[in-house]
Formats: sequence, structure tokens, C-alpha cells
Amino acid sequence: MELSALIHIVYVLSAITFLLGFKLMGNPESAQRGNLISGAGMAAAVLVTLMDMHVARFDYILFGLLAGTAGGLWLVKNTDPTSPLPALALLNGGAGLAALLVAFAQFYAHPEGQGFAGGLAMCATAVAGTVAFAGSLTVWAGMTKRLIPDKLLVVRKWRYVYLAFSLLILLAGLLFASDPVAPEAYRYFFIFTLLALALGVALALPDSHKNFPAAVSLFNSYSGVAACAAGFILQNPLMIVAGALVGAGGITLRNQMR
Amino acid sequence: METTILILLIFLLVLAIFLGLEVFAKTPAAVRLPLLSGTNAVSGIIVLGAILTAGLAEKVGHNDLAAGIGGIAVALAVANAVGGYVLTDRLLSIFRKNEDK
Repeated sequence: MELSALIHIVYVLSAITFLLGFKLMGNPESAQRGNLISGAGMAAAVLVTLMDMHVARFDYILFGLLAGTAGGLWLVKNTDPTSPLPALALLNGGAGLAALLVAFAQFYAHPEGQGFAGGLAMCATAVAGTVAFAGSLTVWAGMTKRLIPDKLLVVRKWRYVYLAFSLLILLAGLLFASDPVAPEAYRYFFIFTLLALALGVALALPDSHKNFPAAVSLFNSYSGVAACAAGFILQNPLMIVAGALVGAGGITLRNQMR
Repeated sequence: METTILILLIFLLVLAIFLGLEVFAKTPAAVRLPLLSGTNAVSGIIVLGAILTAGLAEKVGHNDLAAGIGGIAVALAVANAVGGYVLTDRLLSIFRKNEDK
């Protein structure tokens, strides 16, 4: 059998384990089993991706797998599972930053690759990832260290702030995607990443003092959207499906918890 | 990007969004925190993109620096996936203990 066919069959099975996992977690009786099944699907997806023909070297991957496993386990070991929200915010912020790094590295390695659609996907990945990163860390700061001054919360019309940021990001993204090979493209990439950083903090502020679960869930949704958009850069169907599930699920959970 | 592939991927995206909204539509309040933790673990799927970036071939164009950046992304994404699943498991075992009492 062709290797890429095998990879995609395992991707389909992984997508099923994620869905099954979410379904089983909806019932306290079967929740732990659901989590285990979902985790097995994730591990299988990682294993077959290592066999992808585009993976030509393993030194950095090995470093990442070891350092990430150690870091993740260390963080969980030092977390009281009865109050998991600060750890969840940190982990999710890491996923957002990872998405930004993937978008930038893909752009840096081959900007000419994919034209307008690819450029838009790079912009969406970088922006959603950065919002997830900045927002999660802001919520984390609000939960643990109380670093957020109350005065900042006085802005009454958050909606207009978000709208303004979003329009500016859209403009920079369109300019970027219209010609990702141009020398100015780096400047646009920098601009929309910076704007997304500010938008992430602004999105976190209204919730960061009261409803922590809803705030964490919102930025969890953003990191799902980022993974989904990255799936378009790399044409990876599992990233698109899993990312969209997390994006839609995160925003639904957030609305239910508000 | 080839147009046919792009359209198929958009098809997939639209269906997955609707499925996600449907699956999470009626969650009992008691399972929302574990589900939040579980969805957080699944967002570690960005690790696939990080692996494909960190594995970019050596000495081609700008690939070397890009692969290094990808390596950091792999570490962050793996931390989210591994930490996310283990944390969810510990959270759920506490849930179960509370129910048994």
C-alpha cells in the first residue's frame, strides 16, 4: 500500500477517536475512557506523520518530542487537579504560540508556495494562534498573579475595539496574501501579528477578572481555529477537522459557561 | 494550492464546524470543565504541522532556520497534547472519586 494512503487512513481513524472521545466525555461514567481513546488517536496521528515523505530530518523533531513531553508532564505534576484552569491556560497559550511559529516558519521557508489562498491561511494561522497565546497568558496572569489593573477594565465599548482591531488585521492580511513573495510581506506579517497580540489581550480583559472557565474556553477555541488554518497551509485534513471541532466546541462551551 | 483540493478542504471544514457545534450543543453543566480540558488537549493537533515544519529538508533555501523554529513549535504543541490528556485524566479520576462517595 502506498504510504500516503496509510497515513490518511490513520488520519480518518484519529478523527473518529476525537469525536468518539468528545461523545464519551459527555457522560461522567464513560468520560475517562473517552479521554484515553482520544489520546490514542492523537498518538497514532503523530506516529504516521513522522513517516510523511516531507519529513526529511528528525533532530529537531526528537528534541521537540522529548522537551515537550517533559515540560507537559512537569506542569501537570505541579498542578492541583481540582483547580486545573491556570495550567490549561498555559498549555493552550503554548499551542497558540506553536501555531504562530508554524505559520512564520512555513512563510519563511517558502513564501512562493501557495499564492493567495495559502497566504490567507498563513495569516489566519498566525493571527488566531497569536490571539490564543496572548489571551491565554492574560487570563493566566489574571488568575494567578492579579497583574491586570482594574482601571483598564473601564472601557465600556469593547465591541468597537474588537471591530477596529479585526478590520486592521483583515487589511494587513489581504495586503500580505495578495503578494507573499514581495519584500513588504515580512512587514505585513509583523503588523498583523502585533495587532493580534493586542486583540488577544483586549479580548481577555473583560472576562479575566470573573469568569475564568469561559475565558479559557474562548482562547481554546482560538487555538483550534489556528490549527485548522494551519491545516490549509499544509493541506492536512486531520488538522482541519480536529481544529474545526475544537474551534466550534470551544466557542459553544464558552457560551454555555457564561 | 490546487483549486480542486482547496474546495474539498473547504467542504471538510464546513462539515466539521457543523459537527462540532452539534456535538457540544447539549452538554450537562457537570461535564463542561472536563470537556474544556479535553478540547484543549485535542488542540495539540497543531503538533502535526509542527512536525512537518521541523522536518523540512536540510540545506534547501531557508529551510534550516525554519526547521529550528518548527522544533520549538513541536515542543510547545507536544506539551499541550501530553499535558492536556494527562491533566484531563487526573481531573476525571477526581470526578469519579467524588461520585463514588
